[in-house]
Amino acid sequence: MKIDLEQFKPAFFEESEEHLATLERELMKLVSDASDREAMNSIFRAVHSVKGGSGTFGFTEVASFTHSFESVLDAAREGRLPTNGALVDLSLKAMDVLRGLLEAARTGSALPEQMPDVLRALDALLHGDATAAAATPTPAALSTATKWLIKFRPAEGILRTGMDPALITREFESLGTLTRISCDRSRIPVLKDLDPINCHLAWEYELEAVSTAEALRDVFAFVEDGAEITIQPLNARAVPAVNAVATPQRARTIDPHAAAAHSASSIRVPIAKVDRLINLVGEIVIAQSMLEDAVRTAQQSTENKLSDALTQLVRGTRDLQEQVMGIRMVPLASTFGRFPRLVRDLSLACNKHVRLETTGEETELDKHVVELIGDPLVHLIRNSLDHGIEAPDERRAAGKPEESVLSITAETRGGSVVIEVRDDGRGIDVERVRRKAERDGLVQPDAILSEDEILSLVFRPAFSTADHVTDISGRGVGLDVVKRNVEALNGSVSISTRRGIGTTFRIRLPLTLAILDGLSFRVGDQVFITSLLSVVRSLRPSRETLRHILREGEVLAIESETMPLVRLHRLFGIDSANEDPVQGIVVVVEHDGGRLALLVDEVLGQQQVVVKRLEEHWTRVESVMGATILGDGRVALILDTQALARRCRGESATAQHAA
Amino acid sequence: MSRTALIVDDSVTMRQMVSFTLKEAGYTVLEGENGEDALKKLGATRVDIVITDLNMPVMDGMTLIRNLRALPTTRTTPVLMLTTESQDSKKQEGKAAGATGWIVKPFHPEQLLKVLAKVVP
Repeated sequence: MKIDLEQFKPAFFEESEEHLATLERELMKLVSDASDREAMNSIFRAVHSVKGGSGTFGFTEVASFTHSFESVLDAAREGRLPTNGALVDLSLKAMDVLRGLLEAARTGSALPEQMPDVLRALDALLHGDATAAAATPTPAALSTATKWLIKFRPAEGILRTGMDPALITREFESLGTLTRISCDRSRIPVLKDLDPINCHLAWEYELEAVSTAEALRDVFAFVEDGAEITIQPLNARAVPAVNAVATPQRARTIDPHAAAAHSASSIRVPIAKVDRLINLVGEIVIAQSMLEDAVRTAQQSTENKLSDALTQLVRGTRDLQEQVMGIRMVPLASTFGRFPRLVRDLSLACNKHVRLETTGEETELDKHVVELIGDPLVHLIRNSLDHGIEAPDERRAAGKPEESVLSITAETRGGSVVIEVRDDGRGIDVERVRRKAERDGLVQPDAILSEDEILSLVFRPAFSTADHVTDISGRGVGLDVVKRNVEALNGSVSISTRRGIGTTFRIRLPLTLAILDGLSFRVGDQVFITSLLSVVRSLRPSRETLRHILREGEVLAIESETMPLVRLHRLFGIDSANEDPVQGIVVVVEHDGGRLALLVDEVLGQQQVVVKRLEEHWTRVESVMGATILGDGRVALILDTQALARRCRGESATAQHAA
Repeated sequence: MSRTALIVDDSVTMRQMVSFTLKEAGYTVLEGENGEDALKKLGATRVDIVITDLNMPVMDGMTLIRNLRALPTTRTTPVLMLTTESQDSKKQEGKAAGATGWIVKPFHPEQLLKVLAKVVP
C-alpha cells in the first residue's frame, strides 16, 4: 500500500512552529535559571518531536541537524554536559538554524548560512575535540541459500510482552514456503505447575526461501531476548549476496502554492469552540423546523408562532456568527513568545539592563492579525531599546534604577484589543519634535497643535527618515512603518509620553478583520463604507475652503490644513451623484498621517459590516478593500483609504508632469 | 471485524500520520496525547495494538507500558514503541517494561504496516 503523506506536511510545519515557540520560551527560562530541569525536558521534547516528523517527511537536513541538536540536549539533560551559558547560547543559535532549515524545507529557500558552524559546535561539544566517528554498520557476512532449517524456542515470558509466537509462522509464510513445521511440546509442565501466561513450546521450521540468515534473523527481532534461535542453511550456495534494496531517499518536493498558503492554511481550534458551534447549529435547525411547521400550518393563526421562530432563528444566527468568528481567534502568546529573546539580544547589543514584563498573552485576536502584528511590535521594542531606554549610567545620574522595565500588555477592551509597549526611559521631548517638524516644513510655525497632534508627527514618513532624529527625542526610526502596518489591520496607534518617566505606544486593533466598524455614506445611487477608525469628521464645506492648486489638484483647506478632495463619483463613474462639494458633504479620513476629504452625497450612519474580499469572487480592485451586503440586499464597496491616498499622490504627480 | 489501535504520542503530526496509515489499513483508531490520557481514553476497551511514543509529558511511554501490562485487558496486547534512538538501551528498557517491539523513527507508513504485520494477530 502506498500512502501519501503530502497532506500532513502543513500540519507538520505548523506544529514545528509551536515547537520553535516552546524552544524559545523554555530556553529563556534556562537563561535565568540554568538548573531548570523541567525547561530542559521541554526543550528536549520539542527538538525530539521536530526530528521525528522531519525524518518521516523526508526533510533530511532538518532531521540530521535536529539529531545533533538533540544529542547535545540529551547529554545536558542527563548531566553528561554542563547546562551553562555556553550551552544555552549555542542552543539559541541552533534554534535559529532550525528555524531556517524548516523554512528552507517549506519554501525551498537556501539553507541557513550558520548551519555548518553551529553543527560543528554541537558536535564539538558532544564529542570533545575528537571527530565524531559515524557508526557505519558493517555489512553482515551474507550467506545465501534457498532452503533453511530454523529452530525457535521463545522466552517463557513471550506472551507477557504481547507477542504471539504463532505470528512468527505467519511471517515465515510471507517470506517463502514452509515445507515442514513441528512443535516441541516436551517441556509443558504438569497441570498444577502450568501458568497459561507462560509459553513452553518450541518450533522447528523448514523454509524454502531465497534469503540470508540476517534477513531471517530479522523475523525474530522482537522476540530474540531469552529465546533460543538457530538458523541453518540446508543447501548453502555461492549465490552473490542480494542486498536488501534500500528505501530510496524521498525527493523533496516544493509546492510554491502550499508554501504561500501556509500561514492561512490551518488553524488548531480548542474542542470547546467546536462544541459550542455544534450546539448552535442544533439550535438553528430547531428554529428552522419551527418555521417550517408554522408555514405548513399557515391556515391557523400563525403570527405568534412565526415571530417566535424568527426571534429564535435571529438569535441563533447571531450567536453562530460570533462563534464562527471565534474559531479564527488565537491567543497572542505565539507572538509574545518571540520577545524575551529579542529583548535579551538587543539589551546585550546596546549594553542596557532591561527587564521585560508581559501580560495578556492569552488575549485572543484574529489569526491573521496575530501573525501580522508581530513585526510592528518588534519595531516598537527595538525603538524603545535603541532610543527610549537610557544607558545605565544615564539612568543612575537621573536617579532611576539601572535596570529599566519594558512592559508589553494586551487586553480586550470592548470590540478591540489594546496592546501597549511601555518603557520607563527618557520620554519624548515634545518641544523638540515640534521644532524639528517646523524645520522640515511638516507644520507651519503659527499652527496651533495639541501635544497629541505634535506627537503624532513622529509617525510621518518624512519625519522618520530625517538623519538626526535620535538627537532630538530618540524616537522616530521607521515609526511610519509601524503606523502603516497597524492601519493595514484596521487598527490605530497612539503615543503618550512623560519626560524622564517614559513612553507608551498604544496599538488598538479590531478583534477580527472579518467584521468592520464602518461609516456608510451615499454617492448617487451607490453606498460606500469606510472604516470608522479612519474617519476624523464630516462637514459641509464652504465655497472659500475649496481651492484648486495646480500641483495638488482640488484641495480643501480646513483649519489651516489642506487636504486633497477625492471625488468618489468620478473615481467610480457614478452619474447620478452631486458634483458640487458645497451641495454635498465631505468625510475627512486619515491615512498614513495625512488626510483626505471624500466627497459624498449623504452620510447614512455607522454600522458593523461583514467584510467580503472581492478577490475571492472576482478580482482585486484598486482603492477598494472589500465589499459587504447591506440589510436590504444591496452590495456596498468598502473603501481602502490608504490606497485612495496613494492614488491621489500618484495622480497629482502625473498632473505635475503634465503641467 | 475491524481492529482497533491505540496511538499515543504528544505530537499531533505523528498521531495524525500513524492514525491515517492505520485507518487506511482498516483500523479503528483511538488517540492519546500522553500515557495518562491514553489510559483514560482506553478505559475498559480492548484494543488489538498499542503504538506509543516514549518521550511524552505527564506520563512517558515506559510508564504507560508498565501500566498496560498490569491491566487485565491489555496484559498480552501487542505494544509497539516509537523510538528515535536506535541504541539498544532504550529497546532493552522498553522490552523489560513489557513492550512487544519497536519502530525506529523516522519511518514510512509502509514500514509501520510491516511491523504491525509482525505483531498483530
